[in-house]
Amino acid sequence: MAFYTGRSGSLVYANKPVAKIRDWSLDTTVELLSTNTIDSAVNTFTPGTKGATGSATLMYYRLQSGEAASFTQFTALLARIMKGGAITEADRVFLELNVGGGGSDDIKFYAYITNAQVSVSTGELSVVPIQFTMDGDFSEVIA
Amino acid sequence: MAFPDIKPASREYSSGDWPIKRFDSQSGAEVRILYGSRRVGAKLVLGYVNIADSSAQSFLTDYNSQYGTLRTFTLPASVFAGWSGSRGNIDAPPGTLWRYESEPRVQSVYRGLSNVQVTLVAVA
Repeated sequence: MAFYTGRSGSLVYANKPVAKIRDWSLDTTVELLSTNTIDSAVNTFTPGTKGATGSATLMYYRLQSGEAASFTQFTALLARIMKGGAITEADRVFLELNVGGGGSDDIKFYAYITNAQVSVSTGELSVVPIQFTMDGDFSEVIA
Repeated sequence: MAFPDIKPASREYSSGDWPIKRFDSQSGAEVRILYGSRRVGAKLVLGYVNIADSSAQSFLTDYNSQYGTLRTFTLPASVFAGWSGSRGNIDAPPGTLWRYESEPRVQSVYRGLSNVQVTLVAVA
């Protein structure tokens, strides 16, 4: 397959795709450290730390009978931030972002859910947009 | 060992002064007496940003070789890089040489990279 659409995309958590997601995105950045000297006329840099942040829009969808074997409900991710008590390292999640079904179209990493919004609006499907930040390095990237 | 031949990221120079004694007379007038023919106390603060640890280490090695603030030395041209005026105006005044005013400060900022600040003073 040459082109990809959202139709083949998924967000996998706990070894199963999260049921009914609208979108996901991932930004990878690298910090640049200036190596300018006093006589520099142009900027020069050396790379610093790398990091990634992302977001996904989960649909507020309750799994129907028989779906639990194939899908993860959105509450599994939401519970990593929206819960009583402290957020700890145990709330770190392992995410797999798929562009397509092939093994080379996956992005895998550990992350913390840093933001979750529960959005309810008249005439609209209820959604749960989340944001996450990668912790550590990529386990797998698109090749 | 010579002072590390590395271009700084920042440089701050102050000229120092001649050896002068000041007296305040009863009339309120200030009397100044010149006691020497050389301007001393010029100061140079050099900042090095995000340099390799091996380069940062060279400042510590040179500081040791100069016995800290004991010995005097001259500076390489790289220290004055970017100065479009006459080098003599920001180098040690005539008849003086540089020495370390205090130990170099090395700050580790990233793996393999450090910031270094060196303060020098010109003495006869």
